[in-house]
Amino acid sequence: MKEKINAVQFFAIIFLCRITEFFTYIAPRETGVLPSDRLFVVVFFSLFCIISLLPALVIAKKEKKSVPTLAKSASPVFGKICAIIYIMAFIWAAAESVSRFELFISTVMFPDTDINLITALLLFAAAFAAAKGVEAIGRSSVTVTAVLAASFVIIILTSLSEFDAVNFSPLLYNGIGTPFSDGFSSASRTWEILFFAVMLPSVRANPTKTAAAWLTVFSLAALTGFFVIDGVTGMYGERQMFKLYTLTVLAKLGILERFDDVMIGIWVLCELIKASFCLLAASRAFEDGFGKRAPKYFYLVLVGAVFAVFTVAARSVSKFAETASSPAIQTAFYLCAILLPVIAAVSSNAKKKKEVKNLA
Amino acid sequence: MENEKTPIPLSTDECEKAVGDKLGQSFDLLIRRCKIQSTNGVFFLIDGMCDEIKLIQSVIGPLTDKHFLVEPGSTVNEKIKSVFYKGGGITEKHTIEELTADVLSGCAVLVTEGSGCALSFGIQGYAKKSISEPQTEQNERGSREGFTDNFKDNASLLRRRLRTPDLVIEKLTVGTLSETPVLFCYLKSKADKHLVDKVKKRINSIKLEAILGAGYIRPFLDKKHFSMFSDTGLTERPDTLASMLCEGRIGIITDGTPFAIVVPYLMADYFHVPDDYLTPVYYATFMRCLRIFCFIVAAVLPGLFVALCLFHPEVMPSDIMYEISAAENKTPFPVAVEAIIIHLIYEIVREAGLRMPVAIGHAVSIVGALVIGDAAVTAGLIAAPMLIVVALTAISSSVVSRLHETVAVMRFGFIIIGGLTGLYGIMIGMGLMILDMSSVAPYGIPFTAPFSPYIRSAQKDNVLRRSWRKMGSSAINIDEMRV
Repeated sequence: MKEKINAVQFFAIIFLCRITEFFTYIAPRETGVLPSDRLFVVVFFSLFCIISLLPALVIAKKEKKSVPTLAKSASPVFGKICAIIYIMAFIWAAAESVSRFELFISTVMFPDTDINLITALLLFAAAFAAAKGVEAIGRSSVTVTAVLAASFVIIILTSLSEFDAVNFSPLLYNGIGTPFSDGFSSASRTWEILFFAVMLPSVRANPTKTAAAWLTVFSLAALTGFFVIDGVTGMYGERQMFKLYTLTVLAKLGILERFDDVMIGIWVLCELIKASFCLLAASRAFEDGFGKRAPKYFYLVLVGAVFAVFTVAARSVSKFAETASSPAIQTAFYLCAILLPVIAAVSSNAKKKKEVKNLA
Repeated sequence: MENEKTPIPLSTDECEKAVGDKLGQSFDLLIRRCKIQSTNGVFFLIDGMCDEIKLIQSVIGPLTDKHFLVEPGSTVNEKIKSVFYKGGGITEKHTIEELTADVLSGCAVLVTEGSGCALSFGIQGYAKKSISEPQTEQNERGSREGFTDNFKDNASLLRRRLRTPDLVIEKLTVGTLSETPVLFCYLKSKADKHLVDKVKKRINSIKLEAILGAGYIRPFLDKKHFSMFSDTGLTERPDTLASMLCEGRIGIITDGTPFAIVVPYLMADYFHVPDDYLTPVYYATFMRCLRIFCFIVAAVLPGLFVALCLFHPEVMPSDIMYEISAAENKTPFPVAVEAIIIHLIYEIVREAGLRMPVAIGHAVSIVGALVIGDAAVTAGLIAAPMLIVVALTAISSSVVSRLHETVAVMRFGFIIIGGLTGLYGIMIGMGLMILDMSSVAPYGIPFTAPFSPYIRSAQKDNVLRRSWRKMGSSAINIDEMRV
């Protein structure tokens, strides 16, 4: 019997995965959104996420199967194709996440750092974690989430002294168009939605409630974070690549001034969890789609693939930002989140009806 | 055939010969003939394994007494079993193999002419270590009694603390050659039946020839995949074992080891000590936080120090950074190499302290403190800040001494990873440590419980310890932490 995690653990994993994106928010990519309008960005983001989540949630509720399993039940070939697409998506999600982190290290922190060594170490650690199983990742995530929450509260409280309401502009000063497109763009990078399509059979929880809790808590956390970041850093923050990092550099409490190191520490842990869960999800997609256990070296193959994508994607910030927000990636996301589950569900139903008809 | 049993012959002469053949020419095998009324008998025992006083007063004396009369229609054996020897166990044996096993266990075995069976008197009395203070789990206010090498003494130490018919102490025999007695202890009303069956099955499946200590059994009770953390724990204290049995756990006492194995054992248990329950709650809570902190310091501090010195010196306050930098510049080795060398020396000194004869302990202490510590710094081979880090690490490691094996190895890992990749590597290492911890689930109970998964009812005695009034009438059952 496969291991299962509970709702809290699954929530913690996907929350950490998403918050990693928040940590690594690259400002130049989101040009044009005024601080006050982030409220609308989050609303649109949530809306698009709900739309993207619906197929996976319906399948989980009605069929209690992962999308690759459902696709396989419709047609073994389709199951394999579906699995390969999901594996590629998870490889991309892991590579994208790791690339952001490495870009941060190599551009903001230490330009001389050997990022290949750190990336290799991080990915092998992620493979080790994935091999430990979903329960290990789930339990670790709860611990890391607790540390993250405490750090967040400390960073926010210690930076409030620098908060200035003058940094905020009137609501929708530049119209609704920019928040809408930014919300759409952010939602189309929310690869965690694919976890619902693949990993829900490994979760003992009500999928709808878990998804709702995840989206609500993350939206609130992001709103609070952006509110404090924008209020404290203002226009200076707008010109920074990593806004949260800028906030932590400014935060201080008496002699305690190095909150940026706390943030980096938490960030590394989040990266580890995200990368390991992506590798695990890729392995599950393989098992579900191909109907056999992933070979022992499978994680190493995945690590190699992630590393290959990383070396291409993280060559420069502009290259990375361009790739991550490209229409091709957005299309690929919606293909995995909406189209594949819908096709899998329809073809599976059609096959079932045909079988019933044949029996009759 | 190896498992073939030989029945005890009717003749005492033949029996004597059979036992002699079985036990060879052992000098300590005593064979003593006697006459019980008109019946010939022969005693078999091992010299030094029987309590001689009991043998004379409770067995030989009454047997040879003139008032010992066997009623007509009854046998000597029946008479002995019905009225005789109330002071100890008396069992009947029917094969030579059973007879010799009891003789080797220290029983005095009597075979009477024509009976075809033997009577084994449980009057073992061999030289053994007396009950003394636990060496590895000292405490300030609690009991001073620790387990001994003798399993019967250990059973009585446990029984004295849990005077309830609920306490089950089953005797299992493990080791095809050593036939080591192993006591399997649990509370009927508390321990989960499946857990009891599973652990017992694993013990019974051990196929080793000789079990010479608890360490031989532990790996069979652990999970199969590799982890730095074990499913089982050890305790030298009967009071600790008793409290753990009250939580539904299982204790395994092995003859010849003054440690009991506790199954399952969780991470939180490493930070609890008996004194916590004898001191004010605020102090106990503070000490538990301190122990967790010490565990992190013991594992991570040297690696973190190396990472900060090599990659992130700006994190330290400038005055400290200058001092460390000045000291490190005078030494010939890079910080990471220096850290590895000095920690290796510390582990060597520690190992020497454990293994060397007590008489030369002072000499090693002097060599360690003066030669390695003072002289190495004076000669400029090692920087003083590094020595401070090592000292702090060593002291912190002693606070959580039960985790020493794990911490000692992880420490080197952190030094290497910190020396190669700085703070990022340290965080990846910590992440791996958390993941490894989280992957352990002894018998379905997460090792990290009740932290993760969070079990609210168990928080009354986790990091925070509540007072006895608030903790309720019973301890939390380990089974409540099962996922």
